[in-house]
Amino acid sequence: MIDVTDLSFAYDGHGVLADVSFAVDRGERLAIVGANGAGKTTLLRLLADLLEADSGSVRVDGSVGFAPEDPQNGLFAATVRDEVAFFPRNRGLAIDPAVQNALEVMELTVLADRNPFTLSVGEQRRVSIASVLSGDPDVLVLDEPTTGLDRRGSLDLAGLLDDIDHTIVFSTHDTDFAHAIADRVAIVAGADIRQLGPAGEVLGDEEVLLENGIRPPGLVEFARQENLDRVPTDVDAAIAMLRERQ
Amino acid sequence: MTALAATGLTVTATDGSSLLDDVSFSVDTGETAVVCGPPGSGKTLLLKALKGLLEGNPGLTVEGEVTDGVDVGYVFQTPRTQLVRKTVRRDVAFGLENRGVEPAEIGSRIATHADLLEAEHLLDRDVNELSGGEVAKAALLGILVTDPDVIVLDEPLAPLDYANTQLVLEALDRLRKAGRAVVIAEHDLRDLLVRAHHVTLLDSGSVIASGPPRTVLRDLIDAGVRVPVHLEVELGLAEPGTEGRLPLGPTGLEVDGQ
Amino acid sequence: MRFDHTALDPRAKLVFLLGVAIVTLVVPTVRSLAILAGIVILVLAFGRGYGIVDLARSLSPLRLLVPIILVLNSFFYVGGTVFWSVDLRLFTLALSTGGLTTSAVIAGRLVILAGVAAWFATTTDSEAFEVALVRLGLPWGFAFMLSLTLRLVPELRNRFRRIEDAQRARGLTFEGGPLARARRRIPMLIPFLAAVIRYGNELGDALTVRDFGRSRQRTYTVSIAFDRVDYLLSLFGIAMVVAFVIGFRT
Repeated sequence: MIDVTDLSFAYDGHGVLADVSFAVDRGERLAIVGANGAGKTTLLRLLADLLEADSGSVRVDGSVGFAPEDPQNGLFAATVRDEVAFFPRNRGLAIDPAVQNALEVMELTVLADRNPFTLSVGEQRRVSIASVLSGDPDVLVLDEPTTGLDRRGSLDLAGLLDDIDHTIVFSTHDTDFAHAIADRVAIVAGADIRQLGPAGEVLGDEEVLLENGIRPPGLVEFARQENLDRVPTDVDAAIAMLRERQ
Repeated sequence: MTALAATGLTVTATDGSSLLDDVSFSVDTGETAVVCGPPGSGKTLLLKALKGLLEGNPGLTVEGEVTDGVDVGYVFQTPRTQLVRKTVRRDVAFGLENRGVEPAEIGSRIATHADLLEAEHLLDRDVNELSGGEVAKAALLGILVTDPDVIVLDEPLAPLDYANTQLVLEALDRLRKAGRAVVIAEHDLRDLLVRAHHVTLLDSGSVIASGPPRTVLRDLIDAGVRVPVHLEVELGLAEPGTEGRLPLGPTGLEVDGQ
Repeated sequence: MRFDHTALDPRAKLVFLLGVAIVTLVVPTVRSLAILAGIVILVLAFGRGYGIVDLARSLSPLRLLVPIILVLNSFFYVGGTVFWSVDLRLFTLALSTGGLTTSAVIAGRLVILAGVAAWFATTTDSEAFEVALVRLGLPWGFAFMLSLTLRLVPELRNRFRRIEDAQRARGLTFEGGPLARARRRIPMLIPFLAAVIRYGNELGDALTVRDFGRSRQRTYTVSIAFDRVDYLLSLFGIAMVVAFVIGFRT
């Protein structure tokens, strides 16, 4: 679906990404994790064709939709509906069905006629994503989608994203969120992709995560602290595992 | 001894919606008090009320009282906004210049407090080149040198990655060890719960729970506030009503062993 | 005896800047402006920290504007010997010596003033500038706001770029005629305006939190003082005005 080959990008004289190569399959959810300033946003912008690489290539089998880290950077319309209609209108798609579908998927039908500026952070985030989904992209690129969301908000968002079948590439430094929806995880550090593998594996390797300035998921740390054979999927599972031991 | 208190704080918007409803809150000298709750619960509003930033806001009606004459230092959610000068040293001096402190004393205060926060290496850095955690530290230093009675921080950890979170936590530890009264608003208490003497939980503008971390733990979890995983598990394992005798995990629930 | 541009007292630089500005306004001949430009370049080159290369870089945004000004003004100002003219119903388009001279003077003024302004802005520490303005009698708050505004420019530029990203990613293009392009600016301008307004609100609180205006006897950690070079530069600026005015009168 996405083929990145030898991608390099430098900003102001210093290299942000150097010879990065990887591929993403159709329908896959790929999480890009890394410390702030490691190059996550740059990589996403390159994938979305918002930046031109210095060398190397990004080949995408279809169109890419990009939702920025700050949803307020995109808000301009009087109603949520108008906001979501922007992308399909620009692409010449049938507006009403596109908007309706995107609103439903992001659970915004109730808020459709509200002014986006009056919504909460979480609601604005959903509007931002809906306004990208409505353009019917093949790939969805999300920059730090959990910024401003608490745990419940993050889990709700994970639930919504689970229900769509787009290919999703997103950046985050919330490894619990990555754990919740990613199929594979890539660690960006030192202008390169240090690790790329199944979510369970990459997020389960505390040492590598900490080495690259990333906080391991809480359950992974817990499993290590309690010497468990495997990482529990959630808190209830963890409680059950400890009960068994007693 | 109470350093700062708010009683019966009620904030209403012009359209009639209630943003804070009869909220009472206090912080003692030397105490670290955490205010938590989901986004939109009124945390920032409470903090702003403590600093007196809601006065003169035409869109809000504010009732209730906040202790008079307390010098409150405030660090914003995006601390970069309150950094106004090019280098950290010049910016930290800004608040003291505004207070009419003599340059010689400004210099010595900066040296003393930079030493306390271990921020000397930041002093000659360009503000635009600082990382998130360094920005927070620089803003905190700028507030600390004015010697406030209480220091208030609005979601200091939210936008930070792991390394920068550690920087800020370390600074908070130093403040606590120096006996400062600190109020922190956050919705993620994974690191703060064990550093708090007192926790107040807000939801939709009202106080839902208030007390030492141990007693409000269950309410926090029910409200969706993020707490250390091992505490959630321990709470799940404990019999209902035994939170007071909750077995303590590796990091404990007592601040600095007290 | 080369001096440091960044070490000059802002007040001395202001005197020089003012002198240059007065000369450009008072003596409207190509020759005078050429001499003035030469003087400015010499002063710049004599000091360290800002040279011809920096000046050229600062002036490069004008590289499109200046030719346009030269061409347009050449056609619309008429005087002296007329080489060629065409009479359109409402006005006359002509190429004349007078027109060429006037347009050269207009362009020359622009370049010289932009040049010294760039030199001033680049080599003056904003806090020193604040102190200088206060010593000259301006209220500090005003001087401070001036320097704060300058710091905002790169931040606003950054924000604008991010907004552009968000909208381009949703299919915003900049093609079409001028009217269509203007309408397409709306999804760019509204988030930008909203961000500016939000920032304005935050700034008010931020300044309160930093004790802005708390004491009427504000102190300053930065100090400025006139050095020998500053006296020289100021006198030079004044002498320059006198010399040009006299030279022009005769």
